[in-house]
Amino acid sequence: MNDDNTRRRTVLETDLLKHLGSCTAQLIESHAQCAESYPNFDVPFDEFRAAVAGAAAKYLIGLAEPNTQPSPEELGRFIGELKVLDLYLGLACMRGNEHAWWEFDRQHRSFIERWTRHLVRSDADADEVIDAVYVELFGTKVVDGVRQSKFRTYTGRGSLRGWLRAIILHASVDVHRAPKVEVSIDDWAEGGDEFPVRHVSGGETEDSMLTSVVRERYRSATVAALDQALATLDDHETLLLLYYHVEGLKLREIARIVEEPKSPIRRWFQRRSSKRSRVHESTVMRWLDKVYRKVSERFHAELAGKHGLKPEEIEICKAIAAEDPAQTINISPVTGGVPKKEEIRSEGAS
Amino acid sequence: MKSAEKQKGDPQVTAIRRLIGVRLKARMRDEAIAPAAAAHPDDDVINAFVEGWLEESKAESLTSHLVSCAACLHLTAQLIRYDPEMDEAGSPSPDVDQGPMQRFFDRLASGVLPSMSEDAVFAYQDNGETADNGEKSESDPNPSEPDKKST
Repeated sequence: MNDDNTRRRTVLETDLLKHLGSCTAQLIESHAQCAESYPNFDVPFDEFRAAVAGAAAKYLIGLAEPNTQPSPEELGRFIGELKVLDLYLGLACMRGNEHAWWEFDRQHRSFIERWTRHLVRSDADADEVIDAVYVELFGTKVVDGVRQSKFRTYTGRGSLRGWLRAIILHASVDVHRAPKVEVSIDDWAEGGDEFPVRHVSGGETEDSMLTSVVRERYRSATVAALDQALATLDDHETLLLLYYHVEGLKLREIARIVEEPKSPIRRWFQRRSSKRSRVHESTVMRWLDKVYRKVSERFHAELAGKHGLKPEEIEICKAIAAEDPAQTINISPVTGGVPKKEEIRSEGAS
Repeated sequence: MKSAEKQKGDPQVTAIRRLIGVRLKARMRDEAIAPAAAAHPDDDVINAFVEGWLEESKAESLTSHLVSCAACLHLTAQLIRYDPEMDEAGSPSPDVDQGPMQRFFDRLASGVLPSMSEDAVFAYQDNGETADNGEKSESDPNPSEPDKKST
C-alpha cells in the first residue's frame, strides 16, 4: 500500500469511528449481554468497542467503492452479525484473564485435541501442534509492553470455533511442512498430473521420432487451447472446478457451502440460476456440466480457429491429453507435411 | 457417487472433464511450488469466507486469490470438508481438573522436566526395550503397564 492509500485509509478509519458513535446504544447492549454471560471476564467497554471498530474497518471499509465507508445502517447490521460472545471471550483471554482461559478450555479444549489428532497422525506430533497452538494463542512475544496473543487477530466476524479450525490447520502445516508438500505432490501425481510427454530414446526409429514430433505439436496445442478456455471462466466457476477436481470435494460438500445463506458462492450461483430453491448434489452437477460444456466449446474453437486443427486432429489432441496407458491411439492424416498415418501404442500396451 | 457420475453423460463432456482435472491439478502444483504473488488472507478472513460472512466485494477479491493460490485453496477446502459432527462430540469437558494457564505452563515445563509417567518410560527403556515400545507405553490406555514392567 502506498502513502496516499495509507493516508486515505486512516481518514476512513477515523470517520468510521465517528460513525460508530451512532451505534453506541447497540454496542453498550452487546457488551452488557457479554458481561452478563461472563461476569468474571472484566473486558472494559472501550476495549470491546475498539475491537468492533477494528473488525468494521477490516471488513467494511471500501466495500462498495475503493474509498467509501459503511453507513450507520450497515454498521448496525454488521455489529448485529458479530459473534460477540466469542469476541468477548477472545478479548478476555488476550488480557490473560484466568476465568476466561478456564472457559476457553472448557468450551474448546477437547475440540482442539480431536481436530488436531484428526489432522496429525502420531500422538507426539499432535501434542506438538496443540502446544504450538496454545503458545500462539497465549502469545509469548511482547511488543511495546503488549503480549502478542493470536486472539488479537480474531474479530468475531466468523465463529471462534471456525477460526480455531483454521489456526490448527496452519499450525499442523507449519509443524509438518516438508512431509506435507511431498504428500500433496504425490496426491496430485496420482491422477496423471501432467499431459504425457514422449521422450525419444536413442534406439527409436525415424518413424517413432516423427510420431514424437507430431505428438508434441498436438500436446502443445492442447495445453494452450485448454488454458485459453479455462481463462475465460469466471473466478467462481474456476473455484468450484478446483474444489471438485483438485481438492476432491464431494458434490454434497460443495452443495453445503452453496447452501450457506450468506455464502458468496451461493449469491453468485443464485444470480445465474432461475430457481432459488435448495441446492442438492444434482444441482451442483448440472452446474458443473454447464461449465464443462462452456470449456469444451471454447477449447474446440481455439483448436480449430487459432491452431487450425481439423475435427479428427482435435480428437487426437484430446486422446493424447487424456491418454490411458492401455489405449491405442490412431493418428489421422494431417496436412502440411506431417506423416499420413501413424499408430501410436502407448507404453502400457506395447 | 463421483465415479457413477463420471460413467454417465456425454462422452465429449467426460473427455473434457478429465482434461480439465488433469490440467488444473498440474496448474495448482506449479502454484504450490511458486512463491505467492499476493499476501495470503489471515485465518479470520479465511474462516469468515468459509462460514459465509464475507461481504460480496471482499469475497470476490478472496475468490480471485484462491484460484491462484494452492495453499489457501487447500486450507479452505479442508475447512469445507470438516465434518460438523466433530463439533457435536466436542461438548465442553466436565472434568477439567486444573486451570488452562496452569496446564499450559505445565506443558512448557514438561519439555524441560520429565513427568512421573515419562520417568516410567525411561525406566522401561533402560531395561533394554526399544524406543517404539517406549512410545507405545506413553499412549497405553493402561498406564500401570509400564510400571509393572519396569519393576
